[in-house]
Amino acid sequence: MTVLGAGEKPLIEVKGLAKHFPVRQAGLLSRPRMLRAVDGVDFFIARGETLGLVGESGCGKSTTGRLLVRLYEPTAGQIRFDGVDVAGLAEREFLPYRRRMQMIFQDPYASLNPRMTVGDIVGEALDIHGLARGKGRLERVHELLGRVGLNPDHAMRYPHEFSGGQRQRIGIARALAVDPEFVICDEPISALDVSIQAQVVNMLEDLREQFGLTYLFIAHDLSMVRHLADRVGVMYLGRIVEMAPKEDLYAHPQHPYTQALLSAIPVIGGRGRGSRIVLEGDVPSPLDPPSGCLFRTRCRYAEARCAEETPVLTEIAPRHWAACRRFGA
Amino acid sequence: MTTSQELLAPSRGAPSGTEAPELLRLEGLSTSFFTHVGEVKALRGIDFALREGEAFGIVGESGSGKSVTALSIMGLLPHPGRVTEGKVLFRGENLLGWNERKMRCLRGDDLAMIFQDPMTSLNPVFTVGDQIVEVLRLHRKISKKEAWERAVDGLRLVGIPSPEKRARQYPHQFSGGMRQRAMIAMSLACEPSLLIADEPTTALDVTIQAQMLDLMNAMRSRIGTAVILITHDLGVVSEVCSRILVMYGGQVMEEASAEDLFDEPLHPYTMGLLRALPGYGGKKRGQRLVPIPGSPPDLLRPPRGCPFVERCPRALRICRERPPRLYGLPRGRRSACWLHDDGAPEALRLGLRKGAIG
Ligand SMILES: Nc1ncnc2c1ncn2[C@@H]1O[C@H](COP(=O)(O)OP(=O)(O)OP(=O)(O)O)[C@@H](O)[C@H]1O
Ligand SMILES: Nc1ncnc2c1ncn2[C@@H]1O[C@H](COP(=O)(O)OP(=O)(O)O)[C@@H](O)[C@H]1O
Ligand code: SF4
Ligand code: SF4
Ligand SMILES: [Mg+2]
Ligand SMILES: [Mg+2]
Repeated sequence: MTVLGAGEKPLIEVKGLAKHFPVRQAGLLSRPRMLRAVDGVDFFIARGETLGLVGESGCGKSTTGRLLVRLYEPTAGQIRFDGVDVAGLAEREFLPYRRRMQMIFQDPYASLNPRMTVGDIVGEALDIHGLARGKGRLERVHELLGRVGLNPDHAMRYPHEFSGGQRQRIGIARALAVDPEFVICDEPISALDVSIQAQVVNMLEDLREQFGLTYLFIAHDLSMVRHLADRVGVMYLGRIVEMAPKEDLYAHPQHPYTQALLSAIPVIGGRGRGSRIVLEGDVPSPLDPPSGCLFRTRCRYAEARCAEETPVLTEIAPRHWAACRRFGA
Repeated sequence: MTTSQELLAPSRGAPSGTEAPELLRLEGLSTSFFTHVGEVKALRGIDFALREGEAFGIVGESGSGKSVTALSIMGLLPHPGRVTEGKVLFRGENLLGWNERKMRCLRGDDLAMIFQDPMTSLNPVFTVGDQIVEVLRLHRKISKKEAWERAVDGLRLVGIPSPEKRARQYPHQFSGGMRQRAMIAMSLACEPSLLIADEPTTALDVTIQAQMLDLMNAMRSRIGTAVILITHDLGVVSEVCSRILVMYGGQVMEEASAEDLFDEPLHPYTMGLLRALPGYGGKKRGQRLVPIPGSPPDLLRPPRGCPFVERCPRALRICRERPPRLYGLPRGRRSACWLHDDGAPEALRLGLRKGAIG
């Protein structure tokens, strides 16, 4: 695991990142309301490190990932990549950075163009960035397919001829085509069967080792995140509520939300156990978030003060951050 | 009224000690889809049985035939699917011989099913309360007023706050988790003997899933409904079910009590599934996962022998030629693998550490 050395700069550093989507509601005021999908997020990822990002559906994980590769324009905040704030760059200036960061998507069916051959899907990024042509391009495509456990014959075929696990490999080969340093994996295994998940996870680990890749690994499967990540951030309603090295987070979760999330994981041999913390109700709408602490509507420790003050991330133990008034923030 | 505290108390699976009477038995059930490219043999000879009040789990990867099993039992197979062989015995009567009218009376009354997507069961144009009333009045001779009261009680029972108000709302006014609860309230309105739940929590977040699993456990111990819980998540079945059936390629691979299955899987496929999980068994943190190589068989051309043969690290020559039978093993276990056969090489033989092969 990588720990930032003294004076060393992280590969990724995000400060105050926000994305508010305008949402028009039928029959209501004509002025759109703002949906705060991501609302003031800070984190860094050291070179070679894997940061896991977890949280319930709709809490802003994918939006965060998409902001990093500028699939969305941020509403506010900085995204430093290798020391440079890329959030403010013009499209043309951003292109060299786009090559260095790639994204793997959740749905291996929807993310591949059904009318392109696998060879062209993988080769397309080479063309965009002018990295290889002619015979060199073909060789590179074959090499990439080999690297993800497919074979050269597969280049001529179409996505629908492949299984879910194989399609995810194609997506990974496409991301690797441009020799990225940073890869955002947005739920790369959620759509796959258990037996196939392990194939893909092992491959992501091998590639990380081989090429020194840095990952942002987004997932809702908390046990897979525990397996793959070095540090884990927990999101709730567009904010990070806790962030810690994984051993620490899983052994000593501090934020009431993290505690509930971890205790909700179904465990083998867990029948009839009575110790689970069951959260009441659902996540509130990000169109109409609660005042003060965003988690207070479901928190078993909530008190009057929680409605007034918004807790900020505070370092409560070395490298362990949490945002809750119980930790003096 | 039952407090949520009582409702959420842990329950313990099948009634212990005395054996409840048998409720459902599948005998050699085979189902195919006759598509334009050929016959997809989705199920090939499924056998299992469950008792009243039992919590029975079916697990397997996608395409293993879990949903087709459920739909075959319910008589809800879509075109071009058809049961080609076997029996579905519900309280001893073969449902496959029943006509649609008779089946419709049974469904929603003594035999209920819930799906992954609650909107397949809830109608968007009627209030949630009216929908439950309709189910009740279809199967029970009761007044509208009484049915409405029962519907409200049902919503309260599944933990929907202010049920009188909620009963007058439409499904779209409910959150995802509340819809799932409303669907459970509707399916349990007539207190069925058997509830088949096909991936009821797959689309849900873990926190909502935990609410659902607790609710299903609570309702089961309250009404005494037997449950067939279908899922691909081994943790989920493990939280609810006392007995588990493992399917693969349209066949039964293994059946055992939940404790036994996870403690000592006997079939190479079950072993593979468990080893692929992070943190299972003695696996240390950070240790590599052990994937199952390859992918499931194509049921247009199902393998002649064992469906797992292409991916099995222990396969023998015979596995390719002939399908193994389901061997009966001690502790009421069953497993379909040639390595349980007396004729298998001694050194490779698979059996219980604790007992001899039966
Ligand atoms: N293009 C968009 N326009 C409007 N709202 C959006 C858009 N994209 C996302 N949102 C909203 O932003 C919030 C965060 O969405 P996001 O996709 O980041 O969630 P997530 O954490 O990735 O969830 P999941 O686990 O379901 O993938 C949600 O409320 C979502 O509905
Ligand atoms: N409507 C259909 N037409 C053709 N084949 C089908 C249909 N529904 C299911 N199948 C096939 O039946 C097999 C079992 O499917 P299913 O029971 O849905 O699996 P699962 O275990 O994932 O629920 C699969 O091979 C599937 O492709
Ligand atoms: S600030 Fe209050 S409501 Fe928020 S997590 Fe802490 S105790 Fe709970
Ligand atoms: S029958 Fe043969 S191929 Fe099938 S699981 Fe047993 S050993 Fe493996
Ligand atoms: Mg997402
Ligand atoms: Mg299914």
